[in-house]
Amino acid sequence: MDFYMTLFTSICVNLVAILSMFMLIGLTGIFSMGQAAFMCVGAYATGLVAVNFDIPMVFGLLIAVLVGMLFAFVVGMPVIKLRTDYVALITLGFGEAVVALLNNTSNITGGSMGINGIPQKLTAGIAAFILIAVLYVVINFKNSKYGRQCIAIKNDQISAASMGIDVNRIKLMTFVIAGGITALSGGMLAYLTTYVEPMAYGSSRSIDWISVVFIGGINSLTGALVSGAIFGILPEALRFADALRIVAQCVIVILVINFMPNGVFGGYEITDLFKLCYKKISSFVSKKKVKEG
Amino acid sequence: MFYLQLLLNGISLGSVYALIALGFTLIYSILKFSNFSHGGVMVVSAYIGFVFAGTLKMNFPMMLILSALVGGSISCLVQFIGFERLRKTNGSVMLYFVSSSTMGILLQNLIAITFSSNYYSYPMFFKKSFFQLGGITIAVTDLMMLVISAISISILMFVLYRTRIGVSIRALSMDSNAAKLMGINVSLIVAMTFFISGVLGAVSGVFCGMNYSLYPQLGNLVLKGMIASILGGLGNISGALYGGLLLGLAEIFLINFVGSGITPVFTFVLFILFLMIRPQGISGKFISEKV
Repeated sequence: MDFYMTLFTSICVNLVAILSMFMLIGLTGIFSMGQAAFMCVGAYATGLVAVNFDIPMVFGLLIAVLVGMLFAFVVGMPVIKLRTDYVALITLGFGEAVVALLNNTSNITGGSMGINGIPQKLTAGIAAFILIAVLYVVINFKNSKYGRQCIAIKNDQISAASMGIDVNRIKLMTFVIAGGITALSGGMLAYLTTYVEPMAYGSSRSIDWISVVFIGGINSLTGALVSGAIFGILPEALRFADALRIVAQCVIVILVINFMPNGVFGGYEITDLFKLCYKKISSFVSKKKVKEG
Repeated sequence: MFYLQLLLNGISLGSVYALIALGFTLIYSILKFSNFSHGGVMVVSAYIGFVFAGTLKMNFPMMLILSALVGGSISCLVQFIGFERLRKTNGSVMLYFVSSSTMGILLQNLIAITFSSNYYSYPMFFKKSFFQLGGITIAVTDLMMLVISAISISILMFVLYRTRIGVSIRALSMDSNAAKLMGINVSLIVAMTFFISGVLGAVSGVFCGMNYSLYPQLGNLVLKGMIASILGGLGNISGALYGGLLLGLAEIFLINFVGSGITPVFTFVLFILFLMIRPQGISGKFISEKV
């Protein structure tokens, strides 16, 4: 694959992870500081299976999703009913624990060397297809009964509970689904880069995703996608100044949080634009009809 | 004798964790959010202490006091940039989270740019690095850690429970609106609390830098302080103290029995088990949220 195709594919992989982050923060208000650990888990599950057995990519990715969901369930079960701070800190601790575990089980996972020699099967087309499929799932989730319950929980947990929403169940469900999606992106990454190593999945990566979602606007899926794409391209454009890029991103985040607390896109989606156009056109057409009549 | 040695090491490590946890939990108790930028303040002050000691050739007490003051000022600055406006506009807790974690990353990267990602180590402050006492080996740095942590914790307790500022901080931690109505200058007290927390962070940062080596990711040690403060009960001052000691002891014993690499995994599992049994922490109370 040439440079631009690889860039496109890796942005797709990143956007899948950002979609899962959007489900957690934007929809439900769960603050997961160690979400990258699920990506790590997914990447290792896929990597181990792909290196040891010759199986099609679909199964490799499916295994990543299942393992990610399992881990999310185990971590989320005792934690999700506690306050936001506990969830944030414990997921952060989980991220560190996963990295430590992978570094020290070198006979299975290769330790700090990671796993090499995963076949490169992810093409740009497949990555785009998976991204669209995940996007479809997330949009439908947002518009479904569960998505609206999630938004109610985010806005006020107590009043959501008093309306008869089973807060803990919905939160755990979202956490598990988001864990699965993040692990899926990890599996995709393993098939793209052909190697996995534990150090790339620290908390700074999770914080990166969180800040991307916040810049776009935590209520807007479009915002998350657009800012995810922009901040995916930016590191390549500013390759000569990598440390300065992080500083610039931090400054943007702080400015956005202080002066536009709802993010750049606020609560607007791209579909709102279509709806607006449709309304304008239809009112224009009906006016014309009235004049003609 | 061997266990006594472990106990001593555990307590001296635990005292540093307690120091981190106290700085972290002070902010939690007044603003009700987890201050992830505390790690950034720790790193910056550890490097500044290194500059004071290495380049300017200061002696140990001078270096510690000056870097503590600088750490406090940086913490105030972080408060002013990151949280002042949020507090005035009543921003949601999520915004505090993002703001504080971003500030933490920002400080860490500023250090990485200025000093590059190399490892540095503090110059030797003491002629002898350890001494024997009845079969126990005591490292001088460990002893210093223990003594200075104990002193700073006692000063903190004195300030919190015996002075006017302390009363205001505790009033603010109970109810910020009521405190405002009682004529407490909320902005000033919040800035003051950040200063105190920054001083604690700077002292712990310098000790972490002396104990390990200096690198930009040193601030990740703040995670230990966070775990300690959850163990003790979030927002509970004396709980943070017990939590830090407990975590230090647990880590030293685990390192001894299962090895240092795998210890974070064991601490995490024990921590989750602890939370299942007693989610409110050692001395914490759950205050049920009201509508």
